[in-house]
Amino acid sequence: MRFVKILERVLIAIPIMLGVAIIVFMFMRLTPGDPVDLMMGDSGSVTQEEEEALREEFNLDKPLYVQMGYFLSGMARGDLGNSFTRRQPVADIIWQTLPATIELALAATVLALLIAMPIGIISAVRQYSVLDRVAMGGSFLGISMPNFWLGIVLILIFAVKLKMFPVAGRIDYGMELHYTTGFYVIDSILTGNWPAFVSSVKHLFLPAVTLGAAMAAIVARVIRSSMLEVLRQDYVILARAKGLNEFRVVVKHALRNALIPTVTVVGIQIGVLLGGNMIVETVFGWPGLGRLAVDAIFSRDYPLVQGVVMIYALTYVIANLVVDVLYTYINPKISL
Amino acid sequence: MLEIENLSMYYDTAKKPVKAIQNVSLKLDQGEILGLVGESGCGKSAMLLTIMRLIPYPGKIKYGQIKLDGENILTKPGREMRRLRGQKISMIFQDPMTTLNPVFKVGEQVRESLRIHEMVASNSSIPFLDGARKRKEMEMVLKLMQEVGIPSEESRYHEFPHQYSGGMQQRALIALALSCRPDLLLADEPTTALDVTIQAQIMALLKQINQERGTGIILVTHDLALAAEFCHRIAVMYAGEIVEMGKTQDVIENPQHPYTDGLLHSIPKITTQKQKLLPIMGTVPDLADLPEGCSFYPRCSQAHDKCLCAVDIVELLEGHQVRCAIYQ
Ligand SMILES: Nc1ncnc2c1ncn2[C@@H]1O[C@H](COP(=O)(O)OP(=O)(O)OP(=O)(O)O)[C@@H](O)[C@H]1O
Ligand SMILES: [Mg+2]
Repeated sequence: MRFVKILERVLIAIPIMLGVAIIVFMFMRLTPGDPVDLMMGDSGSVTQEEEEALREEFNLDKPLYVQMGYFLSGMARGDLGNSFTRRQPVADIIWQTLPATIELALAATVLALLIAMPIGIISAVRQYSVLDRVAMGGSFLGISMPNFWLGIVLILIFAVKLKMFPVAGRIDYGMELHYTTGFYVIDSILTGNWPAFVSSVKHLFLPAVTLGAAMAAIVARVIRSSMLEVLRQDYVILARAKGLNEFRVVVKHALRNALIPTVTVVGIQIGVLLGGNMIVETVFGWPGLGRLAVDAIFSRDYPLVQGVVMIYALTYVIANLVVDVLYTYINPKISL
Repeated sequence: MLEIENLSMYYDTAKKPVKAIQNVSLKLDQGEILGLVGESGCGKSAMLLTIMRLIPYPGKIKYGQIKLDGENILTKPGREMRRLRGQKISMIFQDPMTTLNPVFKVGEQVRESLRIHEMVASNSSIPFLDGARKRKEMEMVLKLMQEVGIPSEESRYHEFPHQYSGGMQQRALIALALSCRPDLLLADEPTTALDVTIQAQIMALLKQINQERGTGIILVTHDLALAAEFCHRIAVMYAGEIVEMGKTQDVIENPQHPYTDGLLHSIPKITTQKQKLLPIMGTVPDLADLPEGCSFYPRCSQAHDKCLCAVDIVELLEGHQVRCAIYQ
């Protein structure tokens, strides 16, 4: 039953993805700036014929609806086309950069939850305590600080001044690492390569903090407020009346209930994270999808932009589906 | 078994303290059922929560003692108090709909109680992975569910509270409260949320537990008729104080306090053909702003000047106590 419902949700995603594809296609063509002009600009003197040849190669000489037809039919076959600037299949480029982005996004999410959960819980249990006030003040900062600014400040303090962390990149230059998964932290653990592990974790830390800060702030607030609500409920008193100690009352009986609204917020925050990753990857020179998207947009590399945006949309759809499924597990009253 | 002496508990709110319990003394013997009767807001639930030492913030015990088997539980450290809760003293809460945790299976919630108090000993070196122990606990839970009258307990075990009706939820809570065979059961209006037939079944169940196991019960209710039928003794509460207490027969047939008298006249009897109901006029006073002297004075039909002074509780007949200026 659950499987059928999930399949249903997956099928609903298809028209959404189609809509996204059409919108991205149109927006890119409506944006001023011509990809061939931008490419030619770099190489100086180019003849009219060479330019024509490029346009023909990229199908830019065809009418828009024909171009869209190529794009959509290609996509239906799982072919995202070739990048204008890199002359490589878009799918290959994305496949190579995807692990970097996922690694950063996961690190940011895990870090955010690890910080936000205990802070949110303790703030609720010790409402109006010093810790509560400091934490809520801090989370207010976390919500209001823009990503790029936080990133630059962190780089200035911890990378430039204190030299505790590297400024940019994923791993020290020239460091040997045998790539299997493309997740540097995991690869270095798998191969037992400790210098590479330390280096990749250090590179990961600042961008993960920058990307996760807003999420941590919001999640801490949501957990705090839902815990405050839950801690007043009769079933919490029952848990105490059973003879449970306060830790189990809070962490088992109250938290499980407080997680229900929290999961929804985390789901929304994953969408926000996707937007933030373009900025954070650019600030930290992180070779992931976000930076790829920014580069592709600047060079009007239509197929690459389209491909990356499709991946973003897909990630968002999947994240929402996962949240919905997760929701049914933690809230027995809801089924898909 | 239970002895409460001069107990006072106030909610220290920002404005004035809410005097939820004032100078209450009472005793409960082994195997006895005491009815705690009074209007809404007079401090009945507060009384039970105080005995459990689970009064919510900003409630504070001002003075007094609560002795269980001769030991004052108010001075016990948290660890020992937790061992008493659920095992020696357990409580059935007022509202079954909100008292079970919505995210856990009902059977597991009952089993948790058995686990905390280690009702089934474990022979394994890793107790929490002990499958045999878990099975034994589950069997006990199923038996408890059967005893309190939850049908098809095997499947009910794995259901969540929202799949239960109100009556079934109350039964599950009773199963939970009885799971560790407590000596003292605090039942806070266990049947208010239920319809009359189920009410009768549940009361019969409690009576049976009381007779078979000698469990002492404090039954909180606002229903004097129910208390009269079910309890050995009755304590009538008004505005945080006990105004009359005695054997059920004495209190019902020979009420001494005007408030008890009023309560008795405001309940309809099915047996008598025609009877005029005499409601008590006025409302319960604000516990944060009690009148001087007798709290019932503003509503009392027999009020006079002496009522304005502090009134002590006095023993009129053997075991029949009254707090009223008439008898001072
Ligand atoms: N947290 C609190 N802060 C302040 N006052 C409170 C608090 N909780 C309860 N009270 C007050 O304490 C008094 C006693 O409440 P209690 O719940 O014991 O009444 P009750 O006799 O059980 O009533 P009912 O029959 O409606 O359950 C009430 O006047 C109530 O307003
Ligand atoms: Mg009550």
